[in-house]
Amino acid sequence: MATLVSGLPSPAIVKRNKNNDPVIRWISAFSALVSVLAFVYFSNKGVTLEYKDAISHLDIARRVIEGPTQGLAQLGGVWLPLPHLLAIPLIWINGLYYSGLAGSIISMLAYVATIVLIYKITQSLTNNKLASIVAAAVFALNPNVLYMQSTPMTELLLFACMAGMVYGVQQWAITNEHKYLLGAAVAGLAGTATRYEAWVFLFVMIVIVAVIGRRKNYVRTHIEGLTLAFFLVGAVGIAGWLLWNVLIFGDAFYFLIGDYAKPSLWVGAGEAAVGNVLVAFLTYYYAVIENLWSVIALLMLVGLVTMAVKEKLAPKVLPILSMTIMFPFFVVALQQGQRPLHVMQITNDLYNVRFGLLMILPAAVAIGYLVALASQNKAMTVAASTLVLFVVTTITFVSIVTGDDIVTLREPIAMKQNVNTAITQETSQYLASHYKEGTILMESFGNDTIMFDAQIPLRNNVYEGSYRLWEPALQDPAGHDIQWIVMRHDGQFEPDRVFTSLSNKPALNSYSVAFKNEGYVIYERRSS
Amino acid sequence: MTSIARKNPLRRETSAKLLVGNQKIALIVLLVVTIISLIMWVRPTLTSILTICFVFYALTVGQKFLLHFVSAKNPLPDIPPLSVNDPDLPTYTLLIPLFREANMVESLVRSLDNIQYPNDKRQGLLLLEDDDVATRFAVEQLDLPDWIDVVVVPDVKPKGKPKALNMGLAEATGTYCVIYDAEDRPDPDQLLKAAAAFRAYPDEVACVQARLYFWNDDSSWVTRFYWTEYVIHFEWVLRGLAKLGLIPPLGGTSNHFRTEALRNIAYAPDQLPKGAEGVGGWDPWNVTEDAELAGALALSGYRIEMIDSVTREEATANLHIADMQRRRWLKGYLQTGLVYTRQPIKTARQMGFFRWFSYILLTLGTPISLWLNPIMWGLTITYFITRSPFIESLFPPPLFYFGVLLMVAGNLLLFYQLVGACLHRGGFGTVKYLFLTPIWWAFTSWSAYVVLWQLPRESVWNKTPHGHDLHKDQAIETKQQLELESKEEQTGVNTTPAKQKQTDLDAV
Repeated sequence: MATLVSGLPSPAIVKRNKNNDPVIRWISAFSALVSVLAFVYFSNKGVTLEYKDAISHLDIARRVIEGPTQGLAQLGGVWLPLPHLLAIPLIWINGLYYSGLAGSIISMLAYVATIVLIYKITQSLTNNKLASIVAAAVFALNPNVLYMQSTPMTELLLFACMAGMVYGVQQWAITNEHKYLLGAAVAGLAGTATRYEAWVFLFVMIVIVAVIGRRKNYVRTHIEGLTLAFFLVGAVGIAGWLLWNVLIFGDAFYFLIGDYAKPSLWVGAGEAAVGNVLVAFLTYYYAVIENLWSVIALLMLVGLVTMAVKEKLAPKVLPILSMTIMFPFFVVALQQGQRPLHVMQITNDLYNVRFGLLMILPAAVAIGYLVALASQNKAMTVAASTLVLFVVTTITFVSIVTGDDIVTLREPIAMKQNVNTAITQETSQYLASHYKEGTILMESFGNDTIMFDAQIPLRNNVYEGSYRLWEPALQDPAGHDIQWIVMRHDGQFEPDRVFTSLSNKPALNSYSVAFKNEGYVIYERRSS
Repeated sequence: MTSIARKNPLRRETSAKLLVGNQKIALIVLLVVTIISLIMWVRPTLTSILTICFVFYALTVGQKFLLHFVSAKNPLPDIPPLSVNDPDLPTYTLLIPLFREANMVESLVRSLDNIQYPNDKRQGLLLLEDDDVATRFAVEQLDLPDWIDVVVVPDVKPKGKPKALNMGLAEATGTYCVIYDAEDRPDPDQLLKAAAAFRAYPDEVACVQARLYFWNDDSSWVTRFYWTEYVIHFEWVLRGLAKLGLIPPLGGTSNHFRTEALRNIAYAPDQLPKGAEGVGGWDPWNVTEDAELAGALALSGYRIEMIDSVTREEATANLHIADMQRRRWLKGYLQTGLVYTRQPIKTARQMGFFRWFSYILLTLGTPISLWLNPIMWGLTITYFITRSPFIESLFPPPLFYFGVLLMVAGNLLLFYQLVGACLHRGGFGTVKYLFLTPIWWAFTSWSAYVVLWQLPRESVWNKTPHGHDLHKDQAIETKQQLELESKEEQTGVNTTPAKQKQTDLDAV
């Protein structure tokens, strides 16, 4: 502090105060509690690892630290690396790996962050705490969000990054402080290292930054500098990913056209939405309704339109409205056959229906905005908030209690009930009870759950990501100390690389069939 | 005030010799041990060297971002400047060393006259080199204000700014003193702000440093990178160091001192060049005497703070001259680091371990990291081209991941800082030049290697020429004046219509 020197009065040193909103602490604590309760609930039901992809995410993280060719290259070139990198600090603990908690924790933390960000975005938009709490609750209590945040899937991390981008750009638009713009760019960097949807969103946000600059009447150099700065920081992850694909796979676009990345692997030729914009539109529309519920979707639509009109597309509103870009993006992606998505109303089955959950972000803010519109009258605000919270809580309660109304959970459960899953599980069970030791040659793609369900250490698996081991082992398994060979044959499934490389080949002479069902055959090496 | 200075500080040493006996022995032993180890256990030795390098990188990058974080979280204290009519204003000496700057003299004097301070309480000293006939002639042609005097610095080796400053200090009569270079354009109220800061802070604060900016950031890609680096250095590095109570290596100019503190820490006359002793506030052999002085102040228990005032400077637009300037900075940092590691334990004990360590990390660490960078990039590129099993074998998994994390996160953070610096001070036109960052980084490493090569040679005064962007300087002066008048008007002092001034400002 200032002191007196030579008896002269000391000039005051003015320090700036920070503005802390106590509601944020309460929201953080509450959402953390809800997050843990939801995880415990779904974990007790044994459904946190229902998605095969959930197990694949865990496996990728685990293979970085365990495996015959452990290392960063195990991150591969198809799925983006951030969720796996974040899981590494916990993935080595068996309990957290097999329970999925090592990955779920990332989703849970992202869930809390997203709720806080939605609160802040709505608060900046409406300056109404009650309305902002309602917005946060719309997201926090959505049953599909609650389920997905309990899994090691990557959606929640994407939501947090997108919310971070929106919040940063919105704050910059309001305050002109560049630190927010850079923060948004960092969120964009994280998002583009999480899911490919964020790439689209980042580029949309780059345009939004330029448009806001224009709306603020900045000169061309100013707009150019801001946009480029946002791009340089935000897109560095994309550049890094292209470089990674070059270094590891020799092709910058391996993630797009590589053997394990082509859209044709997931999108069948006869997909209803491919080439049909109307079906594609309806498919995504139903996916949104299934995830959000009709009443929330309707309120979102009303809220967004009101916001756009009433706020006259003001800079603080543009980043929020930009989140709706994901709707046309998915329609185009479905129509182009880049993404597969099935809903009961169109194809009578469910596949990737969680893509529709992305619209919960604009929905939450839009509903908060609607509540704030009633703020001229305090009684109306309280009534509107109570009504929305009642509806949201009822949806959550009904969904959770009946268990059948969480579409993102219904999908993997339905998938598990088909005959193919039973075949895979039978194979896992055989290995779990008969495998003692030795290296297993098995392709991971399409067989993701077998090693995990059998709880066999990944260090004993030579698979397509085993650098310098995979191809030689496919030629001569016995010469490479392979004890077990698991192959998906041409019965119930599409045959895998192990089958096409070794079936009926002399290389199998040292092995005998130990197990066979409609989908798999397991060979064990004969004792010499 | 004298009570602040330690009673028995370590004897302050000059950089007349780069290395002293114990340092030479330590270096030779280290070299011999490394060579023998490389011959006997090549892989473990290389792995050990890499581990040390990575730890060093982690510390330097960590320090950089800790400072950035601290600065961003702690705005500079807002100390209102003293009134120019304050009857208790202290006396102030302005030290202005000039060398081969005849072209700058006129604009310099105009700029000095622009500074708000009562003439009877300020003393300007133009420090002219005896053999610099052109500058002396240019000064003689001017009708200098009464408060500016000339000090002629004897033509004695070593040549350089610190020796001139020592001569100036001997003549200084001010309670406080400040250094300005010929091309400097300080905020007109900077002295009043500094005086207010000295009044606000306790006596142990012996120096307050103003921030330096380049006015000609858009002259060339070189000035753009210089400008960006200065923003990072003065906005985040120095501010962070000051905030944490560490030792900010001072910028070359616009550092304001309690004159008595400088006299307290001065070298003994027998340590100074014969015939040009003056008062030894600065190390005549150190080519970044400002950075060294920060250490000397810390050694005697003084502190340094930053003030919310700006001095605009001219950056060199020429790559060759920039190279010379960087070599001087890097060599000076190296000299400084080596001086304060001559008796590391005693020095660390006297400065405080963390203060000493961060100071050494900054002074020695800067050139070392520039030497290491090309080696590390070379190793990475070589590996990806050759996939050499030998290179692989040098990196056990923990070291490998540590290295990858440092490479990715470190470079990302440094790049983020560059982008942030551009936006922080409105350098929007500079952002696109950041695509040249790898070239700039390669250039800085080049300068560092030249320093290494030239180390054994005697130093020469690589004075950076200025004045190529004087037309912009004129605009800055006008802008500063208008800003000041505008401020005065807000307080009701002046009568020019505000609208007219805003129009003039926009035009500038």
